Amino acid sequence: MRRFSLSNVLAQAELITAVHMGKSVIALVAPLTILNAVLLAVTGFQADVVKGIETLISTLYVVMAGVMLAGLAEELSTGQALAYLIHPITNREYIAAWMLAGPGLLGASYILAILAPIVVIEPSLVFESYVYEPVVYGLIELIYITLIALMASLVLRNRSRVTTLILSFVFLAPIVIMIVLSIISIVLGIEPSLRTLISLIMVFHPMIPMLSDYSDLKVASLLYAITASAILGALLFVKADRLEV
Amino acid sequence: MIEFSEVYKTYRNGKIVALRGVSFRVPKGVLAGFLGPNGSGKTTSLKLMVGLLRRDRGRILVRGFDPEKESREVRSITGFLPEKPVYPSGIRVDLFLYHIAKLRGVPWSDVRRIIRLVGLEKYADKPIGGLSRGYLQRLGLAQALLSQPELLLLDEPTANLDPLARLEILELIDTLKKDLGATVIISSHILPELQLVIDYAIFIDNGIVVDYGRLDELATKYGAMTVYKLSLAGDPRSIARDLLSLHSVKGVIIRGDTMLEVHVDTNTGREFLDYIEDLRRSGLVLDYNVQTSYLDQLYRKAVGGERAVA
Repeated sequence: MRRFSLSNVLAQAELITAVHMGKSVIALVAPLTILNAVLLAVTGFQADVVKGIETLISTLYVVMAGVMLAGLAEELSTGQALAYLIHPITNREYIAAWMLAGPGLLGASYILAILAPIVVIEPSLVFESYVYEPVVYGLIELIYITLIALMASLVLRNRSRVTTLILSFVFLAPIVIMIVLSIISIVLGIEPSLRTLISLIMVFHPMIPMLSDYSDLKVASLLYAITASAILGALLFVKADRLEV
Repeated sequence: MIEFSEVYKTYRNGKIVALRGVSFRVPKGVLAGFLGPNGSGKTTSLKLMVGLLRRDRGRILVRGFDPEKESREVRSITGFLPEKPVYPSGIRVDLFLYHIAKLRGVPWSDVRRIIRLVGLEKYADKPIGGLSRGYLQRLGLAQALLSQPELLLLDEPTANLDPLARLEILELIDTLKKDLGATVIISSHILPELQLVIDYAIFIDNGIVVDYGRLDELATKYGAMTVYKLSLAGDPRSIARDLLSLHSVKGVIIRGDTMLEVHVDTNTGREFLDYIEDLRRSGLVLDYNVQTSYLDQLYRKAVGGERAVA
């Protein structure tokens, strides 16, 4: 018998999308697309403005995506996962379906939300590095955070705890880092280092170095997010094998 | 069909012991009752059978497959009705079943057939969240029956149902067993209602299977009284009189004009069975079936104590 069924993954991802994301994604994509279009039209298509707007939208999108994927924790805690896993779908396929519905579908809708207004208003800009670069970084950050949300869901099995964790990860952690660095700088009487700050925040927001001029940090953040995502993906499968419902 | 051998299962890093060396067998084609009080290990055992939980030690085989390593194979041949099923409330009944059909590789036409079979036609296009407990249980049966499983695991199928719904569900299970020819295991802590349908029993108490086997064999072993129901073509009073003259018959209750309930000492029951066969050949008895209405008595004797089940 097959060890891994792609058709099962697709079928389950379809259901997850319908149950946990369908309306929410539409509710997310539509206003963000409009917000993006309005901001771009009002401020013009200057490189820094485009990068800033796309980073803002990406952050909002990442948080919402993380919160949506906490639905896995809900399925595990309420026993809804049992309704699927008593059928011929393996634990790995079930988790793979969440990975497809999460990073996959949300990633696609994220690209749509970011690029749609630009394609409509000024299609030639899509090929400018200051337009596609934030999309690439944003997409990688989205995959990274959604995988963290899925892993947290498997471990914590509590939707509100996972949501709190994701919000803390995205918003609270960078603020705490800034405060701690400021205190250290004041105590030691040294100039705060922007490079150190970005290096630390990069762990939580791999997209942030893109806004800076540190080209080595840009590469490092990409490498870090891709490696961490690959490890998280592999760990999710290992954890799935030991999943009990 | 199912074999448990010295199976241990604990939760929370060994702090809670659910199964303590459980061993039993369930042969193919029986309708087995998995009987024991709440918290005795019934649900854990059923979940282990389909690989939803991982055992600490021991061996489990379901039609030769190890549920932990071959979960897809086991789940393909098994229909499972969980004790407290939770379904996505916003999804329509038929769409949810279509999804399950997709996972099981079953054609959509089968979904319509199953919906009719369990009596869900009126609610097929309604969201699951709007179903009553009784209809949720029917939905549970519907998803368990898709693809006509060889093995049907029903975890407390009548729990939280009103008496009428309980009876309906039990009758439905009895009909399904006959129609599908599947091996069925029903876990329950309510013994009297199960005696209506089961012919095999596994008694579990505090994580230990204390005994298992065919009901008539268990009744003989523990000297329990066996109750038979007879459908008659002749006069119930005269047949009852004749039956009472037998040494093994301890009591007869006349139920209407065509039915007798006969209480028989299981140890000397052969005499009764031979007599009934003669009556059947002569056409006075149309049919008879065993109804060991002493499951609770059997359970008490098996666990060797005064622990009541319900």
